[in-house]
Amino acid sequence: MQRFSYVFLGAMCVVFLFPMYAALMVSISSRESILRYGYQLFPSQFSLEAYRLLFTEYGVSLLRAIVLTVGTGIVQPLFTVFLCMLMAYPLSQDDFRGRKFWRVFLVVTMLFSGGIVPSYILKTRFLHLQDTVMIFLIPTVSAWSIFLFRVFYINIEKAIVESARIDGANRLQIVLRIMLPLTKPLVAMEFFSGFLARWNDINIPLYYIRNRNLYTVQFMLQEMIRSAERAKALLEAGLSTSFNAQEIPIESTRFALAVIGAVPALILFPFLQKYYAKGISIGSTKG
Amino acid sequence: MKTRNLPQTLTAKESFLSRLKLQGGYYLMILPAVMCFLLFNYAPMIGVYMGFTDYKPARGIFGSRFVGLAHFRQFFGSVDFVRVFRNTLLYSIARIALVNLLTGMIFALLLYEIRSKLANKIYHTCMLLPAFLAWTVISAALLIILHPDKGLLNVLLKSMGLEAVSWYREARYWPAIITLCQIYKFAGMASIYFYSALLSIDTELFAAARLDGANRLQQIRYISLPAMSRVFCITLIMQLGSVLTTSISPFYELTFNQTQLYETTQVLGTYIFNGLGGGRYSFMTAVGLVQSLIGVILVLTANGVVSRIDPDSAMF
Repeated sequence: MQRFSYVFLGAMCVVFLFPMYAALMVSISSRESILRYGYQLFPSQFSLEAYRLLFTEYGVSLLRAIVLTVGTGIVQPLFTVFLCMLMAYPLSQDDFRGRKFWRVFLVVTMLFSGGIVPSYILKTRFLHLQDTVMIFLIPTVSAWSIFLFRVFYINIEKAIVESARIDGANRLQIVLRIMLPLTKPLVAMEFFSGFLARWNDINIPLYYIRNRNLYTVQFMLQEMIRSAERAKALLEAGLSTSFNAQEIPIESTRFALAVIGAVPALILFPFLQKYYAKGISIGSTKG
Repeated sequence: MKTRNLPQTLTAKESFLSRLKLQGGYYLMILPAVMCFLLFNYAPMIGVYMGFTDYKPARGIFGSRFVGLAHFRQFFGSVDFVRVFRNTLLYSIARIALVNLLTGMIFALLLYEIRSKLANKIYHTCMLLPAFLAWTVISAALLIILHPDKGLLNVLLKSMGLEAVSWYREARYWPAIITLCQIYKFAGMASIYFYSALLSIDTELFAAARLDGANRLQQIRYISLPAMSRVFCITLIMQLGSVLTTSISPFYELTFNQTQLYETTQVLGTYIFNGLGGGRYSFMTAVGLVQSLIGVILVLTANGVVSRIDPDSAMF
């Protein structure tokens, strides 16, 4: 049984890593080798022209997308986590009246939602957030996160909070100076998860963004992968110098962008893996 | 010397005021989050009313003509309904059964067999990785495999003398393809939940079972599986709620939203999205409402059933 596990899981690992490997290989294949042999797992001819194209000629558009995605990916989760912590604290304190009411308030949001259309109408017709940066910054507070924070807060010894209270700290300070450091793993996990969610998300650009200047990196990738024609149009529109259309290594460029799109996931992944294991064992107890 | 304000006995009025200050402070803290929920969760719930009217943007939500259940009737009677509903349901069942429950449990069980900590970590890492990749990246990798001319599969088929398959043109391959991609992305995550359940088993039980003559498979059946049952139930309940509300990402991106594949790949989510593009707001609101309602009913029912059998396994 044990040997079987080793072998089987080992094979699984190859399978799991394969797509990333394939994308990487194609992205460093030369245009000629793709034309002649198709996508190869080991290119017959190497070339970094795709990356060169992306970072120099197309650099402005790509940089804009990266700045936008990273910027919103940092601000929005910060905002969200802050709001979650603020709401979780009163819910964890015994002297807060109406705890039960707000708990139901949150559980309802977990069960039922209005659906995508009313949300869409709200954000476009009433709030006019389409094609703006603000649409990316809407906090995505979730009942689940708040409950998770609440569990952590409950487990913090009351004595610590009490002594801070006696020392004259107001509630906000308690949250920031005491709770935050003590729940650092959870805060980190929520923040990095939030960043990754922003980075990987294509729903918001799909529904709300038409302006090319506000494309996120993943959405740009999605447009490029969808069809070669669209990829060409996108590239040509963003090139800073006049580039011979025949020469654009479209194929490898698409996958170079895919590799770039996967980079944050790969970087953040080790951190998140640690916290996920912890968070899950906490989250599986009834909140 | 610093003087400290020690709590003194207060008059009724003073204690009322101080209680008010206490509660008020708390309410101030929950205010921002509550406002977000009200605006982005509860307000759209009211907007559901659009599903019962003939919504015209100029007239606004409440000014549009009330049509009652007309949209619902139209949806259930339409040709689209059967296809879209069936696809959504089948994909969700496949996802819950295969991804979360089956592969999740199998991976967890296999992982549990591994003694070496290093191997454990490596396997764990590889299994979890796909969960963090965006569907866009996965669809790019899929393109490498399935491309009609340059794709790995077709090149392989041609080199074996077989005909290349036009994967992106034929609808019938996609249920398998999409489900496999779902397994790829989520099996690792699913297995973590089960794995942590396995970790909590007292290893004495296995030793005792071995003394009683049980082989490995029997040990799994009588010890490991029951230990995972609670996670099984919770996962099932949680997943049931989203049976109809599949994320549109895999279906939109992997297939590049090609209409010829709709027969097997259009689900409620992409149906609503395409409808939005066509401006069919109230109709799609009604469809979305069907999604949410059925989800709620399923979750509460499943939770009710499970709480009868084993109260600790229930969620609410």
